[in-house]
Amino acid sequence: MNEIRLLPEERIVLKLRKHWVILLRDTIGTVLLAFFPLILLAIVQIVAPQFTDFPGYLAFMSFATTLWLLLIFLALAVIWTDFYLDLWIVTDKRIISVDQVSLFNRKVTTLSHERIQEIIVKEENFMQAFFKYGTLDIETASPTDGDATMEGIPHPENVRKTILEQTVKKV
Amino acid sequence: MDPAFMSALPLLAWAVFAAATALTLSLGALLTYHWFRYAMYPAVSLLSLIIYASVAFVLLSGLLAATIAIAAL
Repeated sequence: MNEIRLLPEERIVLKLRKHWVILLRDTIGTVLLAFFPLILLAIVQIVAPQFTDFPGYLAFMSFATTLWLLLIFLALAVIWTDFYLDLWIVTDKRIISVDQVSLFNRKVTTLSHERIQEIIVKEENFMQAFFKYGTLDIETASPTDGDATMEGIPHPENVRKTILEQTVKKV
Repeated sequence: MDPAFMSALPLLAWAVFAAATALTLSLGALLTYHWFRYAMYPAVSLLSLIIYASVAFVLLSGLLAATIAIAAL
């Protein structure tokens, strides 16, 4: 955490990452794509079995399948990195939101507890209610701080309560 | 199969293998930079690097074996 430096006597109250369902949602499509060569092999076997007779078919398919799996793995590594580097830190003085948008695209936002006006918790669908995650909208009074939205927060109601406790202590 | 295509296949396979290796190494360098610069726990960064390097090594080895098999046709 080289980039985020805590203030003197600042104490971390809560560290948050997005819920694992968010990671699952972001990776499931890519993981399913890994099975594409198997499906293609089956289709070739059924539709055009004469292709399997050409010399080097096995070597060619091994090459294509391994290359495909490599690309899938690289995509998963990038997705996981984006997920892992997204972070919210609630300290006794402020909230630090780190949003890793993509590689080399990183947004760090800091909100002071004194400036928080309202915290809205949103659980908008069945998945969010079932897995107990949601969105926190934090509205501030400051024109420079702006508002913050935290998506995919696990147990957002508890987080809201913790932030409000810190806010009340500061005011 | 077109004989011209078959004769160009080994060279094409080696070119794709070289490109895939370059992509894996350069992306690995970028991700490692992000892990060690921004992640909170160095142990997780190290573990990520080990997993990335191991899986990439296995897949690139498989790709190399397939490339050699194509070149030997």
